[in-house]
Amino acid sequence: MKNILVIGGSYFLGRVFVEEMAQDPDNCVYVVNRGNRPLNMPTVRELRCDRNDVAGMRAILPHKTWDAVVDFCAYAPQDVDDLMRVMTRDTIKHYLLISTASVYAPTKIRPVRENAPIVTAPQPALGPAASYGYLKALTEQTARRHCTQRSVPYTCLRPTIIYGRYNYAPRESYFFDLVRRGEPVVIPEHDLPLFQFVLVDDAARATARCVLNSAAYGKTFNVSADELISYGRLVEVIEAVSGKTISRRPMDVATIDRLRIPLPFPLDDHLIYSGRLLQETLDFSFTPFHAGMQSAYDWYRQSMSTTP
Amino acid sequence: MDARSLVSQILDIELEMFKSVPARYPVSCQDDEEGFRIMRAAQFAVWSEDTLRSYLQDLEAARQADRNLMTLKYARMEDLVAPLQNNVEITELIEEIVLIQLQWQREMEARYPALMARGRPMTDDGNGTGETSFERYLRAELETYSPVTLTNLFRDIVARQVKGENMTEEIYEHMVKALGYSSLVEADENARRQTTQ
Repeated sequence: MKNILVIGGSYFLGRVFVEEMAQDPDNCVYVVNRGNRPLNMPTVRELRCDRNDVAGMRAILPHKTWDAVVDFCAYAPQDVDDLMRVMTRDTIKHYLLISTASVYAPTKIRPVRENAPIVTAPQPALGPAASYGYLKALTEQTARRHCTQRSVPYTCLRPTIIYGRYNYAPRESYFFDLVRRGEPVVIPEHDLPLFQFVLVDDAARATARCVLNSAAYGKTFNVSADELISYGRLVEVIEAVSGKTISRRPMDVATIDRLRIPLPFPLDDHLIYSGRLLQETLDFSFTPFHAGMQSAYDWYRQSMSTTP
Repeated sequence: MDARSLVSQILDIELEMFKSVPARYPVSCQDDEEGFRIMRAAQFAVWSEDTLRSYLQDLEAARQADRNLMTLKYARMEDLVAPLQNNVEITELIEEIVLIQLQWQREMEARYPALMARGRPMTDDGNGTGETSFERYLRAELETYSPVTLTNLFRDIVARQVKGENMTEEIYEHMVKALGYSSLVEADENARRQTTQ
């Protein structure tokens, strides 16, 4: 029996990962989070605690040899520091940190590979998200340091734009809502920039494949499908998966900004990453975008029909 | 329409334009129809159908408006006319494409030095030959494309980058095979032999 401890795991990627791991009867899955969204999975042990409540965490976490600790919600170095303080008496055989492609510094050298420079300061141009990538980068460094000190194999995953079931962020659902209401979709007049996605099921599967996999020890992976998507391509695919004709309203980027149209993906720069290291190391392949978006749309329709 | 028919139509219109480039902008090999077709077909062989389709539309629209895109390209190479693109987003896109293609060209120079030495100098900087550089030629040609074609081409290029492929190598491969070589290595070796003779 393998003991898997998941930190977070109740919302989006973490939830799908827990579902994936719970399918294997050889896994004993523990999930610790604040309990806002209970999973209610019969084979998963749910523990309620804020990860930064060191005393509380010490009280609720059973002392075990953890075959893997998979951390979905470490957003600042303190988060990892606190977790490692709690787990001083435990053995961790593998620590996996779910980071983000936002740790990379802006660059014109594309595709961005795992060894590209990372941000060294907050990025005020990103507004409310100014510190997100920077803090995640510091969190990676902190996690790596703790793992090195404890001789624990460390793996870091940096997903790009994740989409699919349980997505609480208004990304693909922003477009699905417009389509449902029969409203036109604003897209940039030139079909740029280009960006990439990863289906949540693929990101969960990739994470699961890293667990206790020596090929993944000490590695950092971009989690990014190869397909290059633009707003135009996205709308084309949504049109195909929904079977509905979408009215497009091309607009220049300055006007989109001025009108504060909340397009959820980048407008001013390409976000293009190489996911080859992961594909080659783990012999992994990504779901084609069309098929992934079909599953996301089907899930959206189902959730709309069950929402009161 | 499939890729083969698209390329065939593109070549017909390009050739018609190429032949009527006025003498004021002298174009070498204007009478070498076969050479022109081989060079250009190699380039189009690596474009996606979307890119081919939009470029064919560019050519047809230009012909209808009595604009010769080849004349404009050569005129831009010699700075005889103002830039053909003014939109910042599009000029930035052109610069991105030039940057990537230069990188690929450099990789080719490292791999097949004798073969590549037969082509244009890479950049204007101190090449001292008086010959139009690859960079200048490319930028001038890209300026004649519509924003849609540039966008499609950029996607083709970046898709290659993501896969770690070199589009320039593919173009040269098509070209040397059309010239009767079995591979780039053979063409490079042949070029080296001819240089040392």
